[in-house]
Amino acid sequence: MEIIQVVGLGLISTIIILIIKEQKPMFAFLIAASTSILIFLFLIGKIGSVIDELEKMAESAGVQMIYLKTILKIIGIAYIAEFGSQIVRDAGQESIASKIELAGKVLIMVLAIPIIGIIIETVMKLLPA
Amino acid sequence: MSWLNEWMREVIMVVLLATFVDLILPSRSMERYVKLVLSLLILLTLLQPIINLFTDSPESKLTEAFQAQAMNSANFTNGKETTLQQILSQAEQMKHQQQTQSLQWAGEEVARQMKQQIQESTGSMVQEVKVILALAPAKAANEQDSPSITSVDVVLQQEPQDLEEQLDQDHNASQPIAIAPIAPVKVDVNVEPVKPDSSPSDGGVADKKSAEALSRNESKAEEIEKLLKMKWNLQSEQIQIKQNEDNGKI
Repeated sequence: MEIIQVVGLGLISTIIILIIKEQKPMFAFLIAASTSILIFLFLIGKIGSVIDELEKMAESAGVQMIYLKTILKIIGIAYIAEFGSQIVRDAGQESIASKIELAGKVLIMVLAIPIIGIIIETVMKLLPA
Repeated sequence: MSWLNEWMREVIMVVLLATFVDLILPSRSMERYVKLVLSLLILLTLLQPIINLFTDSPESKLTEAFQAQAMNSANFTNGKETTLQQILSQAEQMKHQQQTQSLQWAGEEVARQMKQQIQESTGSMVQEVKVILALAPAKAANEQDSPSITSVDVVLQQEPQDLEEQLDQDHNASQPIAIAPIAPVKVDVNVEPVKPDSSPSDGGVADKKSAEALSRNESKAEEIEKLLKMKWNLQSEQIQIKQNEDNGKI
């Protein structure tokens, strides 16, 4: 039933924005931004329960917590960057949106650096000196 | 073969998690980057036995690396390097922590010994002995701070004899009245060593038997106090002896 709420909210705000846009484009943007924030907040609880379940699963299977943490960090960065860039894109600032996405990509890459370091170190030790 | 089992489980779980993350990713634009990191993680898990052979476990190294990264970024946002002052204060903090830990441990040990001594020499049942140690500041400049005992709490266990008496008492009290279960009469025995003749009257029922028990407890408490004073060189204000009245009640 929650999906009906979300879709209803989206449809209503879209209609309001279509009506308002001619007179006050500023308010149209505000409505769009607040709608997306509302939907995001609505979904945060659900995402939280999914992550809780993942954590429980990983713990019971004995996966090292550091792996799970890295994976969760990736999800978080991806979601937040996506969210921000889309709001900015709605406002018509394409370039800023792409910068936000770039930041997200770079931060994800930063997470990869220690892993690459360990793998390379091992490979170097494997090779005969 | 157990390591193989564990390794397989880990690989399977990481692959499953990675697939799941791939599913719940929000957009296509991040996909390549996320896939790279995830595949590196899977590679790391696959290589884990080999890495374990050559260096220490990859998890601890990864944790270290992430911590170093976090430290770096914190420094970056603060815009300053870690100064000597910071390091010194950190060291001070660690030293303090260590000291409290060792004091706690020593207190527990002393409490254990005291309990043993009391049980051996007076024969009374001791439920718990709690010793709180503190560092006394050094008298001379070149002396080190020496730990000293600040307070000793002794909780006596009710002896079976006392218990029976109390039960008897309850029984007698409830007989003449027709109402079925009366709340058990609580005799709060609180022997304060500073003023030993203050008779506690919390229970409200101070008949002969409880008075007897009281005086017996008091003498026992005095005995224990004397023992502790003699053996551990304590002041009587530092010793607290209590009777545990709830223990063993039905």
